Amino acid sequence: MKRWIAVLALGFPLLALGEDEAAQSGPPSAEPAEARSWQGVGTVEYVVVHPLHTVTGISRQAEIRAVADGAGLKVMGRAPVRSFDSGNANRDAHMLEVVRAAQNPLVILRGLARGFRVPAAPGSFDVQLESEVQLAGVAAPARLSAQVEQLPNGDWKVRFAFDHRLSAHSIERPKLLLVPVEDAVSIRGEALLEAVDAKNDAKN
Amino acid sequence: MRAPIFRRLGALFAAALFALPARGLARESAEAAATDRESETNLDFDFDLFGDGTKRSEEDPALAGRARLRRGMLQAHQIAGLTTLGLMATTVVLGQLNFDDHFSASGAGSGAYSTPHRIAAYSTAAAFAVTGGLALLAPVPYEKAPGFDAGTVHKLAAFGAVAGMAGQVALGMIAGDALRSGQARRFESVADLHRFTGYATLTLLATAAAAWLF
Repeated sequence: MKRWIAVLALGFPLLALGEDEAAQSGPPSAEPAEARSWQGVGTVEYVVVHPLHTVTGISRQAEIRAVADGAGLKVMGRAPVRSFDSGNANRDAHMLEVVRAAQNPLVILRGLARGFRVPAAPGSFDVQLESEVQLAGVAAPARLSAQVEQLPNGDWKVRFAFDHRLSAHSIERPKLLLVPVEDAVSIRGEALLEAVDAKNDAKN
Repeated sequence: MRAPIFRRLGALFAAALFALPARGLARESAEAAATDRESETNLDFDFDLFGDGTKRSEEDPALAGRARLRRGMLQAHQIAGLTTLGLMATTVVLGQLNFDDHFSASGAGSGAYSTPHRIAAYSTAAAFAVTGGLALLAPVPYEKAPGFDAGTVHKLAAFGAVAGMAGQVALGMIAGDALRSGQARRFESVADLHRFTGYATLTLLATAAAAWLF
């Protein structure tokens, strides 16, 4: 009998612990955060390296939109491939050829940051986005890091960068003096995203 | 009698003792799996925040074909251009040796370099014609933005080289004619001008090639 009392005394706390753990691992009790969104235009540039030359192409027509809700942050950016200027019209026309611009007029980036919460106060923070880049008709994953400065009015000043590969998009690497450019391409950019009312945005 | 009751109660309790946490663990793992599934779902990039459709256009086979043809022709243009540059350098070296053979104090006047120089010169002219033809006849599937850039420098240098090359051939012929007709002074002055334009043409060709590096 004493043995069973001891077992009961030990068993109930264990049972209680099991139930408690199960409750903690359940869905978050937090209510869904109010959706907020931002949009703006910025610049994006690519840097490709050739053993004899480094080329930088800049577009000032990059459109970016972002939505943050209880699930996290969703970002989408796009730029017309024709808008990139490397300072050499011949090279830019060649770029349009290799990215098959007629069929794929836009380079598109979609990014997700799960669990992201919008800071309550102005300040700077970093965001890592699991992303997908769509270029030349081929989508490829990328990991993008962005530095965001949240302004007092809720707007975001964003700087972002990531490394990518031309081969990920089945792009035939252009050659200069018969030597191809390197496969690695660096992407970076910046934008000012204005906070917009998510409800109005959804209606539009 | 008491012993079997306690044994049954003990068995039930033991079952409860292990089953409940196990149920909790099973629930946890099910929730973890659900979270994983949710994560995978969250990595679905099939969303459009612009809401206006960012779909790809229909492929234009003719345009794609022209782009491929242009790429092939411009690759060949690069090879032909570098070959032309090499041949031009060879022609200039042989021309200088030919000039020295005729006019320097130590020159033997043997004419040993005359034929190799002529062969190299005509080869250069032929390679240059092929190079220019490949560039001029290449289709242009995507219009280029106007403006002054490295491509403009390349074209200006190449057109300068065309003029230089044409002048070279003409001056070479005049020099040969002067040599055959025994006009020594005329031969020397024309040969000197021919030599100068040769160096200038080589410089222009090198400029055309190097323009792409800037």
